[in-house]
Amino acid sequence: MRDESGRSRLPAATRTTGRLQPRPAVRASDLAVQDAADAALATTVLAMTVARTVFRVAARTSQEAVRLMPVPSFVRQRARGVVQAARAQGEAQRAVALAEIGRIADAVIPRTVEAVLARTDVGEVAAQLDVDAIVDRLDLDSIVARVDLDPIVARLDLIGLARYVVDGIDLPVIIRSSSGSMTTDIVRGIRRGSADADVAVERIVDRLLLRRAPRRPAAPNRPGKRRSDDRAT
Amino acid sequence: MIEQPETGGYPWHAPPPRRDLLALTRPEIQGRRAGFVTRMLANVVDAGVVIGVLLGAYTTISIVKFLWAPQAFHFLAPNFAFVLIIGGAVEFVYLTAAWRIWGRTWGDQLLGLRVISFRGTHLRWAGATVRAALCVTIPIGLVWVLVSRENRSAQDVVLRTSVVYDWPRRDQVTS
Repeated sequence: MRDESGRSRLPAATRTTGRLQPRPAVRASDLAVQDAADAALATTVLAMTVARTVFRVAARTSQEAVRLMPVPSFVRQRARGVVQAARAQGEAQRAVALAEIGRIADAVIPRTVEAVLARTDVGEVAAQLDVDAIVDRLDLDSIVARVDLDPIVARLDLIGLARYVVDGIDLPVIIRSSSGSMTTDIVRGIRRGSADADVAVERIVDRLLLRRAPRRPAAPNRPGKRRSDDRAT
Repeated sequence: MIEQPETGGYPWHAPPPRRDLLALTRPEIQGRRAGFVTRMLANVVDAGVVIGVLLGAYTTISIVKFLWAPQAFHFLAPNFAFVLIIGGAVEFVYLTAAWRIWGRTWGDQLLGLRVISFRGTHLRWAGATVRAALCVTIPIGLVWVLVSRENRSAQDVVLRTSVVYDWPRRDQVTS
C-alpha cells in the first residue's frame, strides 16, 4: 500500500483512526456504470452456468453412447487417444487460464482492497467492537501460563529496581521504628509485671495484717494541671 | 479464569491485624498510687543513675589528674563515708530537679510512675527539695508503702504527696 517514496497511498480517511470522515457524493453517471456492470456480470454468470450444465449433460450422454455402441477396438483406441489429447490440451489451457487469473488478481485485488479501505473508517469499525466480550472469551490465565518469564526477568534491571524500592520504603526508618517498638514492648512488660507484683504484695500484707477493707489507692488527679513535658517511652 | 477471593488467597489485601493495646496499657491502674515493688524498682534504677554519675565523675577526675601530672598519677581512693555523702548529694540534686521539672525521675519514667502533690500537680521547688531530702536521709520510709492503706511512703504521709501509675500518653489507647 506504499509507493516508491515510502508514503502511504491510502487516503487520510483510512490512515486516521477514530473519527468518521465525510465521504464523496455519488454521481448519476457512476450509478449508470454500476448498473451496467451489474447487468453484464449477471449475464456472464448466467451464461457460464448454462454452458456448464449443457457441457455436463453432453459429456455424460456421449460417454454412455460411446460405451453402449458396438465400436471396433481400433476405433475405440483412436477415440481414447483423441480424448486424452483433448484432456491434455484442456489441462494446459486451464493452467494458462489459472496463471492469467492469478496475474489479473494480483493486479486487481490490491487496488480493490485499497479502494475498500479508502471508503472504510477503521476507527468506526474498531469502535463497534465489544472488546470486553472478546477478553471475557479469552483464557488469559492459560495464555500467561505459557509465557516464559525468565527472558523477561533477565532483561530487567533488578538491582536498579531493588534500589528504587528500598529508597521508596525508607528502610532505615522502618528499622528504627521496629527497634523502638521492641524497646517499648519491653518497657510495657516491665511495667505490667511490676504492677501485678504490687497487687500481689498488697494482698499478702493485707492478709497478714488481717485486713478486710480494701486499700484506697486512688490519688488526686488533675490532668489539666500537669505539665506537658512527658518523655514518652 | 481464576476466581480471586476477597482476601482469602491474598492476605496482603486484608487490613493488618490490630494489636490489643488495651491489654498492654492497663488503663484501670492509671492514676492509682503505686505499690512497693514498682517504687522499689524505680529507686533501684535511680540508684543506678547516681552510681553512673559518680563513676563518670571519678573517671573524668582521674583522666584530668593523669593529664595534669602523669608522673605522680595514682587512682583516687576515697573512703566510704565520703562516697556516701557525695552520692547522697548527687541523688538529692537529681531527685529534686527531676520531680520539679518532669514530675518523674528516670526510674519513674521506666516504671511508668509520677510524683504529684496533694493537688494532683507537679511538686514545687520547696516540696521537691524537702521530699528529696527525706528520701535521701530516710530511704527506709519507702517500706511504709507496704502497710499504708493508701500506698503512701513515710515521706508521702508527711508531705501529702503521691506516687501514681502514669504511663506516658503515647502508650494509651487512642480509639
